[in-house]
Amino acid sequence: MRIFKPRLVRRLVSYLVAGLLIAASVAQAKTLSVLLLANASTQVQIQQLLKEYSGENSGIDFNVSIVPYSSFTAKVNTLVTGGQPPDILEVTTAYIQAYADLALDLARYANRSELLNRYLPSYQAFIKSGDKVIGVPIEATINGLFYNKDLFAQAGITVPADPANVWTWAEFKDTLERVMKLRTCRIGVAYDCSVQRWSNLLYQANGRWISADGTQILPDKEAAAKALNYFRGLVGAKLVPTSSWPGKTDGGPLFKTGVTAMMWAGNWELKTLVEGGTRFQFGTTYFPKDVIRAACPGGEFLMGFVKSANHDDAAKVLLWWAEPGTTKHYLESLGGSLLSPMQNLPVNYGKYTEYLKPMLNDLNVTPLWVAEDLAKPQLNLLQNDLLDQLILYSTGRAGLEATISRIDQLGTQVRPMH
Amino acid sequence: MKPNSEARAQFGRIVYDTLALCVCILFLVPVLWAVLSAFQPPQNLFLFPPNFDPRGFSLINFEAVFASGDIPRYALNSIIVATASSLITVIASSMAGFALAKYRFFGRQFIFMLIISVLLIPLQVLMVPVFQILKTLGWINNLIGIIVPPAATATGTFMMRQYILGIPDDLLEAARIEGASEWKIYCRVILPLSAPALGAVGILSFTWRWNDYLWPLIVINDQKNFTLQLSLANLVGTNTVEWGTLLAYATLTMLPVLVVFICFQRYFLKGSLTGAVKG
Amino acid sequence: MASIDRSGAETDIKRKDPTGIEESASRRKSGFKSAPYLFLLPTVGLLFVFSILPMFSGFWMSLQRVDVIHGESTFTGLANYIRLFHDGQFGLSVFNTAWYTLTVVPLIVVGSIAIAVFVRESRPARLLARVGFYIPFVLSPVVVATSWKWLLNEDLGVIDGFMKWAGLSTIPWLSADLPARVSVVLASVWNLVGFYMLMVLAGLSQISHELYESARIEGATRWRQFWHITLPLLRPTILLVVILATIHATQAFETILLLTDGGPGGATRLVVQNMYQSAFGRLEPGYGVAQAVVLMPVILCVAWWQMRLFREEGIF
Repeated sequence: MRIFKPRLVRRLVSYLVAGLLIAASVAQAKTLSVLLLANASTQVQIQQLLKEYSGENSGIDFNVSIVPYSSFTAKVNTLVTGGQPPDILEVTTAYIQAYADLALDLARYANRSELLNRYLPSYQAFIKSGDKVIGVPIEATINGLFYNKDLFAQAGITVPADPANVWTWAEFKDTLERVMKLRTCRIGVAYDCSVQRWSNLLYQANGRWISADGTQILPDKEAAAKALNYFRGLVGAKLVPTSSWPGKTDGGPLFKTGVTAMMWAGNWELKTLVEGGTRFQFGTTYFPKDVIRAACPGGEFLMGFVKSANHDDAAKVLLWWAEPGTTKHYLESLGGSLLSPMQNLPVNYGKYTEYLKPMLNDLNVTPLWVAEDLAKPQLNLLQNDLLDQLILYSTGRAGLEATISRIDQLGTQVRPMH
Repeated sequence: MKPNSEARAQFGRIVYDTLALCVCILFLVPVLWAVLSAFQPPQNLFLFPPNFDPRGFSLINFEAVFASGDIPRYALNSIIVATASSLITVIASSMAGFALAKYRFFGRQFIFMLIISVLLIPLQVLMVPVFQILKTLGWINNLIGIIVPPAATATGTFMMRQYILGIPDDLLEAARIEGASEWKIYCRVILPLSAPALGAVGILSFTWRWNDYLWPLIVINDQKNFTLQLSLANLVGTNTVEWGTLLAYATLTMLPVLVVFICFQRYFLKGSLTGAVKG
Repeated sequence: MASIDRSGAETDIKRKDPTGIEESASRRKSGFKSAPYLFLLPTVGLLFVFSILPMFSGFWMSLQRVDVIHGESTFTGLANYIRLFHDGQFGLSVFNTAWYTLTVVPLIVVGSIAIAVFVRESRPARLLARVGFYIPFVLSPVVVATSWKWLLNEDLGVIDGFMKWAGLSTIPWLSADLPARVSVVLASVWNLVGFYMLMVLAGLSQISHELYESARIEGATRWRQFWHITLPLLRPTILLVVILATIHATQAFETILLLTDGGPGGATRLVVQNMYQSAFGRLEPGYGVAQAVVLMPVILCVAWWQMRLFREEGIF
């Protein structure tokens, strides 16, 4: 019985194949939700790079949303608790470890040690969580010291030309006092009012916030006392202006006024200063040292969530970004103001190269445990309370014993996290 | 004698006019700083001493505003949200204000205090439950989610109630005797007579919804549904702030609300109840 | 609710009131009225779903210790509330809020009435002034905070610059406790007075011009007109302003956050900021809501007392 005519069979088969192909391509057309941090230096370029990925991988699309840093926890926690975590999240050094338990483990998709070893040791510390690899560093920032060349020239002071001659704390203070004698100089060092900035001094005194095992806060009381007292001295002598501590005015605008001698900030300020332009010449130099030289590494990471809708595709995107070629391409598209978190990656920093020289040096000599300390989530949880204590002490309204004991108390209130 | 005192009264008025304007300008110094700074190129921003030389004015910040995102779209979203939500607010709060002002019913005191107590509920710490409710309704990422939920305001209701209390009961009784239904009384008596309060509630709720930040933050995930305020907030970057663009943006977003204010504020001078009821 | 005796009176009514209008009017006056409930439905419905329900959910959260990251919660009963009693930081924020409220409210009441009376006439200059006073209310908090921060900057700001020029010592506006509190009050009143001015303008429009005319004819001065006509007739509006200003003051958050971030060492940290920091800084949302639950009855009592003070008609 010839029920199945050859032509009919051929037609049915071709329809079946076409249907399967269409179904396959429709099934593959996925939209990944991406949540980025508001950052004029990077948000456009990140979206640009994601578009390139879409171009190379048809079927993957991105739905990008942007949130400002101040609302970051509110937005992300609401999404996570509400059961709709984003597929890809941009996160800073302060927050990445807080989400470690929920993070997509990239070690399941790639070789763990090979992936980790691409990055500078400090950045490995941020993305390691037990055996997991929880994120991909996309750019690095580091604290840096800016100075107003015009004012320094007027005062006849030169900054350290090479790392061998960095100032000591005492010399730094002395320099500020000398520049502030000028009538054209109203502010000594613009110093943002945050725990992170002060931590720089703690690290230079060879102290750390949280002990390596995560159980004790300010384990080295001597170093803490040194850093606290030094900073109190700077504030007391009005070298750090009251508009900074505790007035909380941003350092950037203060430095741009042209009447500020120095700014204790980081390479993120470079883009605004260089491209926006300033009415004065400025430069960067090395941080002073106390016991050691240290600066705070920072930066942004991309991470995924295990419970998100498209986590496997997200992992692929993250690993694509983790390739040296992609990272280099991204950093160069930023113009060169942000640093590479990868080792041995020759990135062309363009017009920023001269400014970045001292900062890169500071980043290279900063010991690994600084990054490990900054990664601890407890530090972020206690941020507001610690800042209160720092303000009270530096403005002379609390004593050393009382401040240290209150900080100890705060340490006991936070449960250790992994 | 008459022309003399007329002239004196006129002179007095002009003096008060000038005084009002001077106080107003002094009052607006912070705003003037923001607006003038918006016209400064970035290198002149935050200069000390401040440099507001008009020759140095540039529109570069305003160009940056339009380059920072799909501004026309965000503006459209903001207009839709503010207008729709204000309409709902005006209607809902006038109805509720009428009920609370002119009726005696069981639970009146309780409901009034309940509405006032809603003002004390801090949305900031309740973002997660609100998100879950909106998710259940399917309003996440939808403009409806920022039009309807914030539309019922306790403040608007309270304002309408206080105003409607001042409408004489006799007018309502007269209407009732003529056989008008309660709804007709609301439409034909209450609404026209409370025009000033309606205008005030309308302007205020337009301002609130235009400046809303927390609701859109919770609800909107998709950039194409962003409002102007969400987009403006993103100029406060993680490490640095785009001050020039932000000040220009703020100057621009201020304008539509002011236009609404200027258009509707004449209603405040309307209406006195003289002659409506004798005795 | 009285009921009408319909037995023998029906025929009488029919004769006096053939179309039944009077009867239906009186029935509506005394039977069960659904009208007020229907009028209240949209507002109360929306408020219930989007404000009150979340509050119940939040209250349930406050009885637990919620681990936001892992999505686990442990029932802890009243532990959060007991902790509040010993929390010095919470106590300080309550004190700060009380100080702030008691300072801001009188300034707003006086300021808004003064400005509204000044700008109510429809002369062009006053119209311009009306818009001018409203502008600060329209500004986004970032701009309000930044402008004031730069004005009050102790090293470079205009105000301290003026004081130096005048030979006075500068005031540490944002870096010492009391000046910071004053700065916050100034910035807030500046920001909000336009809002309350609107309300007072609406209330002023209810006062008929005839009253002022007849008073003027009788020779009353402007001040007397204000004191004896304007103020008494503005009573419902003044109550509105007082209660709303009080309640909004207790909920003040965003502008202060941007201006002082809680002030030097917590001096300008009000309760909502404390709640927000508990919920999103320390990641203890249950504790944050517990603070709200404790404060709500307190503030409600204050509002209640204010209404009694004004012998608010319709409630008492």
